[in-house]
Amino acid sequence: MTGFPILSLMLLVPLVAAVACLVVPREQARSVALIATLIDFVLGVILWANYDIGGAQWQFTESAALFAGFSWKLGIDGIALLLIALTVFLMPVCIGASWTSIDKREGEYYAAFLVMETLMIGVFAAQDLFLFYIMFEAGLIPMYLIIGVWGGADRIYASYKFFLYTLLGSVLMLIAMFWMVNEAGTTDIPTLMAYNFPVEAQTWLWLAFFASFAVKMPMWPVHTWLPDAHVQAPTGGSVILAGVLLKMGGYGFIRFSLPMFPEASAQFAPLVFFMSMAAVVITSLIALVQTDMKKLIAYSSVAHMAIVTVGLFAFNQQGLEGSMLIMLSHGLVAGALFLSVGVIYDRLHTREIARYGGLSINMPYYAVFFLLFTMASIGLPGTSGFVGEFLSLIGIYQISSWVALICTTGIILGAAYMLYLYRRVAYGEQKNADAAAMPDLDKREWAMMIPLAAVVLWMGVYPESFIAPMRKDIAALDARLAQAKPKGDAQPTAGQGTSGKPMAAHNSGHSAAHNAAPEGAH
Amino acid sequence: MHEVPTWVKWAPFAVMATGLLIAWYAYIKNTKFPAAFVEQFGFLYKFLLNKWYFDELYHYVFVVPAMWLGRVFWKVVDQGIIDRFGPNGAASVVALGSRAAAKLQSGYLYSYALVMLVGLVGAISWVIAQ
Amino acid sequence: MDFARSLALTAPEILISVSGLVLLMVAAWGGDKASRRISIASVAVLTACAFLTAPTLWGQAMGPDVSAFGGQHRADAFAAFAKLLIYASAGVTLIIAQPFFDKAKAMRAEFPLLVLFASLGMGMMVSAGDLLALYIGLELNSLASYVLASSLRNNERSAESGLKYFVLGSLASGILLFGMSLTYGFTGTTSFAGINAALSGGLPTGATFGLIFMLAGLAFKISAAPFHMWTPDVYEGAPTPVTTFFATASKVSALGLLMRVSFEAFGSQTQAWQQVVIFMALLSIVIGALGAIGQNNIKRLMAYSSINNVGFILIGLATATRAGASAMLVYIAIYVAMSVAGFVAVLLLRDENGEQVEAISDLAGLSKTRPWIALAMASVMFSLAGIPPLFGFWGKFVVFQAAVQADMIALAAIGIAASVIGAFYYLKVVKVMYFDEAADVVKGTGETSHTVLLVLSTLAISPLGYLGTKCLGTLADYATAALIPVG
Repeated sequence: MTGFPILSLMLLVPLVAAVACLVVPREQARSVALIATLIDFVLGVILWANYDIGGAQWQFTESAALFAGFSWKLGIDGIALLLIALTVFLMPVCIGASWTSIDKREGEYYAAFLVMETLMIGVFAAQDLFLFYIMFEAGLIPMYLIIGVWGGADRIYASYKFFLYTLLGSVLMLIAMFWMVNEAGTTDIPTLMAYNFPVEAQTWLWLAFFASFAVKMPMWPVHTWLPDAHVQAPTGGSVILAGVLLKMGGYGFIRFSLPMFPEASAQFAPLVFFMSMAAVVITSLIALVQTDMKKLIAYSSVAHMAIVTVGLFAFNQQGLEGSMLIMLSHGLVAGALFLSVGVIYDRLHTREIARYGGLSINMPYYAVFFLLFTMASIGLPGTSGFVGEFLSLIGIYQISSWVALICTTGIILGAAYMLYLYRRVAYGEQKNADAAAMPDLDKREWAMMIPLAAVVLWMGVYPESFIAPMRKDIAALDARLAQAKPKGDAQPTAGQGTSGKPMAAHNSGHSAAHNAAPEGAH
Repeated sequence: MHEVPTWVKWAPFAVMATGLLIAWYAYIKNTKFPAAFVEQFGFLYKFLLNKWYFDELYHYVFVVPAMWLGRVFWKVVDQGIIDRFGPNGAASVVALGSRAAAKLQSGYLYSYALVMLVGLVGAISWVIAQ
Repeated sequence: MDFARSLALTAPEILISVSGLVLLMVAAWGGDKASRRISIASVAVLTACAFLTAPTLWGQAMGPDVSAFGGQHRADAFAAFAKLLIYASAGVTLIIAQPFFDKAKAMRAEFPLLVLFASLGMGMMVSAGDLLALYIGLELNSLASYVLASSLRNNERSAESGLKYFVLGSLASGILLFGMSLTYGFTGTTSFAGINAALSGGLPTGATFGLIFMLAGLAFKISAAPFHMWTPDVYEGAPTPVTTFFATASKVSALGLLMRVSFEAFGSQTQAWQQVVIFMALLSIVIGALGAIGQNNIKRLMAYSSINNVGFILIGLATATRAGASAMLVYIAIYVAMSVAGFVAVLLLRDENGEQVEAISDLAGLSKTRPWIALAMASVMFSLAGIPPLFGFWGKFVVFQAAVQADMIALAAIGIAASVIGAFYYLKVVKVMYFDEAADVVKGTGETSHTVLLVLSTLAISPLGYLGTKCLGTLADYATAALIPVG
C-alpha cells in the first residue's frame, strides 16, 4: 500500500458522493450515500489491515504543498486509526438509521452526512495544524443544517446553541495555533508534538485549546449545548454527534493539549479533575430524573466523557489507554443507544419514557439488543464499556484516590439511571396500547444492530485487538508526559512499598488500600 | 479464616436448626400457629414481611435525595445558572446591544453627523492625551 | 522622468478618461437607447485597462521607476493589485446593472459613464503619491458615487440615499481636506514621501491633528465605525448594482488609499495611528455585528456586514507590518468576491411582479424553491462569517495570523471572539432559507449573465478557493513590497 493515497481517497469518496446526492433524484440519494459509506468502510478495513502495528509512528503519510501557509498533509498513528475506523463503521449505520425516517429533502440530508464524514476523517487524519483546524471547524456547518432542517420541534434554538457555543470555543484555539506556528516555525503536527514550548506560554496556549476541546467534549459546565443538540437532532445526527463528534474533543486532548503542553497539562490537571468530578456526579444525577430518553442518554454521555478526561490527565499508560477505549466504546454504545431510541421513536414518534413500557413482550429481540447496549453503557464486564472505565479508573487511582472514588460513583449512578430507563421502557406492564402494538425489529434494523452488538462484545471480550494498534503511540505519549508527571497520592505497592518517594517509609508494611487514605499529600 | 472460636463455627448450624424447628412447627405440626402469631405480633410480622423496611429506607435515604438533587442540578444549576448566565445571557446582552445600535441609527442626517464628529473628537482627545 | 514616460505609466487612466469622454459624446447624441452599447464599450475599456495594469503587478513594479508626474502618480504593483479589483468590480457592476435598470425602465446612458469616471477616480486614489492627487481622485470618485446612489430618480429611497451620502460625504471630505491642509502646514509638502521624511524626526501636535482628521475622512469612505452611519441607509436605498459597486470597488479604493496614507505618508509614525486604527477596528466589528442582528433587509444586512468586515481588515492595518498589509489585500480580494456573490444572489431574487425581493423573511424556504441560489447565498453567509472551509475564512486567517505575528495577541483574541457575534446573524439568513417553511415569494428568474457571475463568484469563495491561496498570497506580497519597501 505504500505510496497509495488511501487517506485522500477516503476523504474524496464521501465528498464526491455528497455532490452526487445533490443531483440524483431524491429517492436514490440514500442508496448513493449507503454505497459511498460502505466503500469508505471497506477502505477503512483495508487501512487497518495494512496498518503496521509496531511500525513507524506515522503511517500512510501524504504531503502536498497545495496551499499558502499550510499544506495538505495526512497521516495516521494508531490512535487516529481507531477513531477513523469508528467513523467509517458508524456512518453506514447512520445512513441506515435515516433510511425511512427522513422523508423530506433527502438529497441535502445525505449530502450533509457525507460531507460530515469527510470532515471527521479529515480531523483524525490531518497532520497539519491548520488543515486540522479547518476540518474541525467545518463540521459545524453540516451539523448545524442537520439539526436545523431535520431536527425536532425545538431545533432552531438547539442548532444556534450548538453552532455558536462550539464556534466561540474554538476561535481562540486558532489564535493559539498562530502563536505556536510563529514560535515553532512549522505547521507540522508531529514536529509540534515534540516541540518544547516555553512553560509560561503553555499556560495560555493550553487554555485556548482547552476552551475548544472542553466544549466539544463536552465538559461540565460547558456541556449545556449537548442535551439540546442531541434531543433535537434526527437519529442519524445524534448517532454521529455522540459517536464521533464528541470524540474530537478527546482526540484534541491526546493529540494537542497533552503532548504539546505537558507542563501546562500537569498544572491544570486539578482543574480538569474538578470539572470531571462535577460532571460525573451532577450529570449522572440529572440523567436520573430525565423523562426524555434522548436527553437521558445525552447527559450520560457527559458523565462518560468525564471519565475520559480524568483518564487522560492521569498521565499514565493505563489512564490514556482506558480513555481511548472509553471513547471507542462510548462511540459504539451511545450510538447504539440513540439508534435504539430511534427505532422506537420511528414507531411512536415520541421520546417520552412514560409513553412506552413492557416492550420486552411485543419486541423481544429489540429488548435484547437494548439490554446489551444498556449493560455496555453501565460498564458490565464482558462488554466494551467495562474495559475502558476500569483502565481509566486504575490510571487515575495512581494519581488521586479521591478523584477515583468520586468518579466511581458515576458507574453506580450510571447503573441506576440506565437500569431505571430500561425497566420503564422494556419491562413492566404494557400500559400504552399503541406502544404494545409496535412490531419488532425489521430486517434493516437487524442489519444495523448486529454489527454494533458484535463489536461491543468483541471489545469487551478481547480488547487487545483495539489496544494493540495504539499501544506504542500511547507509550510514546506517556514518555512525552513523563517530564511533567504530577506526583500521585496513592502508591500501589505490588506486594512491597518500595517507591523512592518520601512516603516510602510510611508505605512499607501497609496495604495499597490503606495508602489510598487522604494523608497522601497533595 | 483461622483462629476463630469453635462456637462461631457452630453458630450458623444452630441458627439453621432453630429455623428448621420453627418451620416444622408452624407449617406441619400446628398450622394455626402462623395466623395466631400474626394476630399477636402484627407489627413484627409486618416488619419482617417488608424486609425490615430496607427498601423504604433506601428509597428515602438514596433514591429520593438523588432524584431531588438531579432535579435541582438540572433545573437550577444547568438551566437556571449555566444556561441563563452563559449562552442565553450572552444572547440577551447581544440583543440589548443590537437594540441600542438600532436606536442610534435614527435615519436623521444630523445624528449621523454628530456621531462622526463625536468620534473625531474622541480620537483626537485620545491621541493628544497619549 | 520625462513627460512621455509619465504618460505611458498613466496609460490606464488616460484610456478611461479619453474613452469616457468619447462615450459621453455617444451618450449625448445616442440618448438612453445607446446605453446598452455604452455599457458594453465601458466593460471593454475596463478589460483593456485591466490588461494594461496586470503586467505591473506581475512585474513587481515599484520604486521611482514607476512614479509619474514627479511622484504624484504611482503605477506600482500595489496600485495594480487594487486597480485590478476595482476594474473587475466596475465591470461586474456594469454587467448586472443593465438588466436591472432595464426592468425598472430607468436605464440611462450616463450610468455606465459615471461608473467609468468613478473607476478612474478610484484608480487615481490607489495610485496617489501626493495629497493633491489623492484629493482629486477621491472627489472624482465621490461625485460620481453620489449621483450613482440616486440613479433611480423616481425612487424615494434611492434619492434619499444619494442625498445622505452626498451631505455626509461632503462633511467627510471637509474633514479630510482640513487634515490635509494641517499636514501640509506642518510638513511643508504635499508629497507622501516628503511628509514621511519631514515627520521621521517626530510628530508635531499640529501634524497629529492632521493625521487624525485625514484618518477620519478616510474612515468615512471605508465605512469604519464610528464613521459608518451612512452605510446602512445608502446600501439599502441605492439600486442594488450600485450597492455592489460601493461594497466592492469603493471599498477597495478607499482601503488602498488608507494604506497608502498610513504606510507611505505616516509610515514613520505608526504608533500615532495604530491605536486609533485598533479602536476603529474593534468598534467596527462590534457595531457591524450588533447592528446587523435586528435587520430584515438583506441589503442593510450586507451593509452592516461590510462594516463588520472592514473591522477585520483594519486589524491588518493595525499591525503596521508588511504581513498585515499583505493580509489586508488578501482579505479585500476575498471580500470583493463575497460581496459580488452576495449581491448578485440578491439580484436574482424577484417576486412574481418582477420586483426585487429584499426582505429576509421573504427568503423563507428558499432552499426548497431555489436550491442553488440558496446554496450560493448560504456559502456567502458562512464565508462572511469566516467559517471554514469556505474561503472567507482565509481572509480572517491571514489577518489574525499577521496580528499574532506582530505580537498583538489581545487584539486578535478580542477580534476573533467578537466575530462569533457576527456569526449569529449570518446564521439567521441560513436559518430562514433552510429551516423555515417556504414563503414562496421568490418567483422570477434571473439573467444568464447573473447566473454566470453568481456561479463564478460562488466557486471563488467555495473551498476550491484555497487552491488559489498561493497565487493570491504571492500577488499580495508583490503589492505589499511596492507599498512598504524592504529594509
